Amino acid sequence: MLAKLTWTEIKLGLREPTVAVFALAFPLILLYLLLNSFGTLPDPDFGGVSPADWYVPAYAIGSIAATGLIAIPVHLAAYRERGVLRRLRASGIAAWPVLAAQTLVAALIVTVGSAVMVALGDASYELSTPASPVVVAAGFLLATATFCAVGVALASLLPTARAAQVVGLLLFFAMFFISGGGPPEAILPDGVKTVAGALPMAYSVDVLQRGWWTGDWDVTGLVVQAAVLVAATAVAIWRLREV
Amino acid sequence: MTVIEVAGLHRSYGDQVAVEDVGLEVRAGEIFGLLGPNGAGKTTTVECLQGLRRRDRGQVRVLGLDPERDGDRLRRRIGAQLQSSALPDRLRVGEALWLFARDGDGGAPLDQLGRRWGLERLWRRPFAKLSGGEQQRLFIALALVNRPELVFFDELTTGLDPQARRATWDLVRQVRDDGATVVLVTHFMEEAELLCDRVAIVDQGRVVATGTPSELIGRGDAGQRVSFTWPGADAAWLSQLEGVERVTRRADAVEVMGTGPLAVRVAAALAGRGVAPADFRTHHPDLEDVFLALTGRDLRA
Ligand SMILES: Nc1ncnc2c1ncn2[C@@H]1O[C@H](COP(=O)(O)OP(=O)(O)O)[C@@H](O)[C@H]1O
Ligand SMILES: [Mg+2]
Repeated sequence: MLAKLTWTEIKLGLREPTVAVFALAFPLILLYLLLNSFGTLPDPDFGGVSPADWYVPAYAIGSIAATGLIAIPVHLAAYRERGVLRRLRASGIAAWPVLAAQTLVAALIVTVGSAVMVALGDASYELSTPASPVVVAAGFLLATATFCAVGVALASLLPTARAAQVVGLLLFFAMFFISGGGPPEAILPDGVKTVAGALPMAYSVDVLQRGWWTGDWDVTGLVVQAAVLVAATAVAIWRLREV
Repeated sequence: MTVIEVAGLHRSYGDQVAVEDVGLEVRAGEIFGLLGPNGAGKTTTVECLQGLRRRDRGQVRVLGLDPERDGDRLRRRIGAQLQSSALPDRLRVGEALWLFARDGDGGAPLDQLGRRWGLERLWRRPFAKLSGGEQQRLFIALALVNRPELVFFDELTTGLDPQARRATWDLVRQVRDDGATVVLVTHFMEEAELLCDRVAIVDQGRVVATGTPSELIGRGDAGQRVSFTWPGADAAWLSQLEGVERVTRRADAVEVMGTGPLAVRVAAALAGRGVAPADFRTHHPDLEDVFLALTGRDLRA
């Protein structure tokens, strides 16, 4: 069933690519602009790494957050609002493979997006190779799972696709520019740093950047994301008892 | 054999009570109707039977299973067309059938099913481009694709034109004749009367009567009605007759409602007074009259 649903979601996604394209193109275009304006030299504001080493991991997480916070809630809330989930469940197709299929498709999209970003950084902006591919891969997967779970939870809480779009966009932008997608943390005001510390995205960025630069595990980042993942999954399970 | 057993089913949405003490028994191989006005709680009831809604209390067994505890297992054995549901706009008819068909269940090949429900012409059409009737045919095909033992149809013919409605009724009979049990939710009296082997009349979250359509109509709750033209009718005198409950006059047209052998009594009394209207007519009660008699309200209201 999962294979059938995933294949169906891929086909549907290709027929109506707007939201996915936004989630892919927006971080990519911003990344390109930033790398062009900051050049290629290591910079103390970026913790002594090159702008590409700072921004490529941050924007990989950015594309994960955009997909998880915007694409998934809009899509799933529309399914819920229009009775697609009920239609599927009534025919013996439980909610979990539907959600798993969405997550797989999201993972596919963000992998493609991140690969393009890495290729871009590598080609012209002195992107270094990750110190630990294992930590980077694990951080990438955990962030994908976490943001997809948050997206599913949002969709389960919000009554309409429109509401999901508004809330998803607000959450995404609020997080994105203070959690690594905007100026580097070192030059952010203290108040903004505190807010960023309360949002999950900064933790995902930390895990990925540390893994990229030094190969260390950022344990705090892993634990916070795991906690968000569990909480969001619990909310979704609770809310999707009736669809 | 009993396929569905329900006792004391209760469900509210916040402080709005939708289902208040519903009891039902559906037998294998019958078309069982749930008839009642909008808002009676029919949809909520069948959603509880399918485990799509949780019940607040009550006992429910469907195909020997508890729909809440064994929902996924149960739903693999039943088919459903829901009152309000949809498919993704760009999903095509053929893809929908492929997605919903479980492999290796020995179900009918998809193209055969498509032909049977007249969908082969629409095979590549996206869901959003289907007419109401075509969507309904697709939903019926999806409900039947895995050869269910029990099928739920909720407001199957609402929004269809009379011709499509009649065609759909034939399809429902076919499903029953193929051996499945059918639960049909409707607010059309005519549909219940023509199609259902047995009917439960639902009002304000309760079952007010259950039986075959002819049993329900013959129970005598349903008022008898006669009408005739009598210029200057003596309405007061008519109301005194035995069995008469109500007399209404609109210009010269008189309508008398009551119970028992009403037509014979009224005719005899009129003849005794030398009144012989040429258009004396008796009306056979239908399920709508039964509903009116049981609830004091109009089914169409
Ligand atoms: N999801 C819901 N949330 C709140 N109230 C609902 C919901 N669904 C139905 N109701 C209310 O419950 C009552 C019964 O509705 P329903 O089961 O749909 O009846 P029917 O199918 O007989 O028209 C109605 O008053 C309706 O407004
Ligand atoms: Mg209904």
